[in-house]
Amino acid sequence: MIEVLDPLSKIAGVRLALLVAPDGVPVCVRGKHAQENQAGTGEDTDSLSALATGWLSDLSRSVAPLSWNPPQRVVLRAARGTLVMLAVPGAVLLAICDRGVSADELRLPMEGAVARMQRILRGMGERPTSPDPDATLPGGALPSRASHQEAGSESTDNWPAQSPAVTGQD
Amino acid sequence: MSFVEKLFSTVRLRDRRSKLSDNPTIQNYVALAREHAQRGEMQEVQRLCSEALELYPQNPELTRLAERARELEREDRTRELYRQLRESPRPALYRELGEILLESGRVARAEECASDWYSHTGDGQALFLRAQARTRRFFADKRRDDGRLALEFIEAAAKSLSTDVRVFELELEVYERIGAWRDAQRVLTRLLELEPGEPRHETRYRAVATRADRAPSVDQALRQVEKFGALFDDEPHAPLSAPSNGTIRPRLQALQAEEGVQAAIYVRGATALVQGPKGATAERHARSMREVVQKSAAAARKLGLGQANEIQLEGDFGRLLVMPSEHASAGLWLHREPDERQRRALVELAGLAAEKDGNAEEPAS
Repeated sequence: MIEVLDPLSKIAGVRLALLVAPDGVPVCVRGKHAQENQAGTGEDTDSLSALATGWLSDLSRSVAPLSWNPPQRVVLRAARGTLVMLAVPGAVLLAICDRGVSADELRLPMEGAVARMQRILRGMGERPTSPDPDATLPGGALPSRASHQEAGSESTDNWPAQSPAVTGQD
Repeated sequence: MSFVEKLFSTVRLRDRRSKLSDNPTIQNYVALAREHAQRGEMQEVQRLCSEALELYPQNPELTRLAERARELEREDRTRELYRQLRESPRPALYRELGEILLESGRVARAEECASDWYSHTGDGQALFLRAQARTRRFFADKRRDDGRLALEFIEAAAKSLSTDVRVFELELEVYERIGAWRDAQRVLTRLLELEPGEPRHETRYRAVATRADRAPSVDQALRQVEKFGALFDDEPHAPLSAPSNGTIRPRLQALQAEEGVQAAIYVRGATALVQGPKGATAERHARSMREVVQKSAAAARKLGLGQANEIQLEGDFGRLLVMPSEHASAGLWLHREPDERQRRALVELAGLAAEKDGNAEEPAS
């Protein structure tokens, strides 16, 4: 997932880009604050992911009485930065930007990141079955974090290998 | 500035001085101050502005110019202090830098400065600066974690500066502003030990003692502050005057009449105006928008992003754009990308409540 988030995190003004499971567990973190496990907001990335997805759930509950489906993209512009979240089936893509960065500038890169992620997942789904028994397990929508750890990226060790989170559908 | 430029500038300066002495108008003051600013003479700009402000009090142009000159002077001094600190770090330099950073509202930098200072000298004053910076941040963002940290930093500073009244006054300010009266009473007892018979502390002690019985704990008080986004001594929202229906409704109607707009909503406290949906549907929209604003404001604070300025939700329902302000929120539900004019209209609408504060008008219903 590193390659999914890298282009997004390199955009000027983007402090942090995260791919988060719907339950708030960070899957992959990229950005200039990722190394120090800080989002530049004083929160560590674990709490940030949990708080952001919690807020997204709150918003879904708030608009539910209007018979609206959960929002797919939310933008919160605040005094010390902007939070942009894009909800895709089974995952949430999250970017924290500096104050003054237009959320619209991130629309295309974020949608691009989602498309890249789905392409990767489709590719994984089409892989021929291997004699390795582990490889025959139905792959989780998001790959195990342990296999993708790199410098500057964050991942939890207990990410379920068989998570049915993202199905790879468009 | 080259020699030729300096020469021309001196001529212009002389000319503007003579114009000002003939006719001391705001324009002439501003022209002379700008000439000094171009020469980098910020103290002269400030002196001129304060002289002009005595003649024309609260003139926005002069006030802005004076503020800008102060800011530039502070920036110059900050650069110089950073340079000096690199060469020979000394407590006096750290103290001055910390004060300038706090004065200009750069609390994160002030905290960094305090940490550097403490690591170089181990001075208790550095801990106090750190506590001041975090307290400022807490008062600005109303975040529970900041409040807790501020109190921890104050406690650490109090250990090093056990007889410094400023530390306990800062602690008292935090407790009073969050409404933790029992703890405020304890700090006042300590202050009275340090300054026995001080009338200011005695008066405050008596005032606090009457409230201490049913006061919440520090943790409860911090939770309340984070939940409502307001400190105990902040202006309550309810008694403030509100803009009238007559002011808000035409604007909402104009917004709703635009192409692609499904609903225009204005919410202020428990009252709301909705254009578009009718009856129970309108009520549901207002309730949902109020919830969205509350949850988003709390999320922005918890995430350390400060005060929420704009919330936008997108989905198969279209777009919900909300501009929250301190007293009211204005929102649009629309089926296309909102343009800059609509955003500005919402900001104006949400800001009307703040503008109207102090003018008695009928409340919105």
